[in-house]
Amino acid sequence: MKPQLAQHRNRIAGDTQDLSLVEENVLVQQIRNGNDYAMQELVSRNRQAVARVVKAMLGDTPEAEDVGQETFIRFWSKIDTYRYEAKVSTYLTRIAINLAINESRKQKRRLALEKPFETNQKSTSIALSQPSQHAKDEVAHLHEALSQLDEDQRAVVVMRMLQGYSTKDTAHFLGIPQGTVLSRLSRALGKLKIILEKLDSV
Amino acid sequence: MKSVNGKQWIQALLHELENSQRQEKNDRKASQMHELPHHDDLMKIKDSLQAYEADFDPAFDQKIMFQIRQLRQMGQKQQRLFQTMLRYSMGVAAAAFLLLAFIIWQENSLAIDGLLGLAGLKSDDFSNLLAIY
Repeated sequence: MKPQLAQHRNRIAGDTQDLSLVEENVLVQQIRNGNDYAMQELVSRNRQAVARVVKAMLGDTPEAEDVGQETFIRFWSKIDTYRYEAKVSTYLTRIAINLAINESRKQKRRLALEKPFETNQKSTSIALSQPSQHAKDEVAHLHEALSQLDEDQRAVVVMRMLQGYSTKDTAHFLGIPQGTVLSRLSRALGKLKIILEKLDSV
Repeated sequence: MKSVNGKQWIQALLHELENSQRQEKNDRKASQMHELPHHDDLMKIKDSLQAYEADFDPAFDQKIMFQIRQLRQMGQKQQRLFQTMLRYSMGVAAAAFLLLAFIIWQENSLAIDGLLGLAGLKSDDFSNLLAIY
C-alpha cells in the first residue's frame, strides 16, 4: 500500500510542478498525457493572443468570450493531430480567426432575419460595436472602426496588421490567395482611414 | 513572423500593396480599388492597432478547465456505455450460438425445420396447432 501511495504522491507532484518554465512542446506532451495543469498553463500563456484576435473580430461581447473558449476546447480535443510544425499560438490564432469569422457571419444572418429592412452594413455595425459613440479612447475607436468593415476585410486586417503575420501566412490561415489578401487589405485600409478620421473628429 | 521596425514595416506593406494594385490594374479591376492610404495614415492605423490590447474574463481559464472536465466525464460515460453494450451483445451472441449448437446436437440436422423445432411435423399437426391456438 505504501509504495502505491508514494507513487500517487509523485504523480501529483509531477502534475503540479512549476509549469511556467516548461517548454511548449513538453507542455503539449503533458496535455496529451492528461495533465490538466499543463492545459491551464497553456491557456494562460495564450489567452491574450486569442483575445486580441476574437475581440478585434467580434468586439468586447459575450460571443467573443465563447469563441475564445471554443478555440481552446478545439485545440484540446484535437491535440493528437498537433504536429509541432507551428507554434501553439499560431495554431490557436488560426482556429480563433476561423471561428470568429463563422460567428460573425452567423450574427449577420441572425440580424438580417431579425431586421430585414436594415442594410447589411448597418446590421454588422450594430452586431459588433458596443455603444462607443462617446468613448474617446483608442480601443473603443478601433472597435468601432473595425466593426464597420465586413468580416473578410476585418479578418485580413486583424491577421496582417494586428497580429503582424505575413501576407503569405495570412493567406494560408484564411484559405485565400495572396492577391485576395492584398486587395482586401487595401480596401479595408482605405475604409479604416475614413472611419478613423470621422471618429477622431467627433 | 512579427514585423519589428515600424518604418520598414510600413514601407514593405505599402510596396506590397502598390504591387498588388498594379497587378489588379493590369487585370482591369483597378476601377474598383480604393485609393491607397498614405504613409502617415497607415502609420496612424498601425499605431492604433499596436495599442490594442485585449483579454478575457479573469475566470476564463477556470471556465475552460471546467468544460474540459465535463467533456472528459462525458467521454468516460460514453465509453462505459459502449463497453456495457459490447458485453451484453457478446453474451447474447454466445447464448444464440449455444442454443444453435444444442438444437443441432438434439436434431442431428442443420435443416431449417429442425432448427425451428418443427422437424417431423405433418400438415395435420399444423392444422391441430392452429386449431389449438
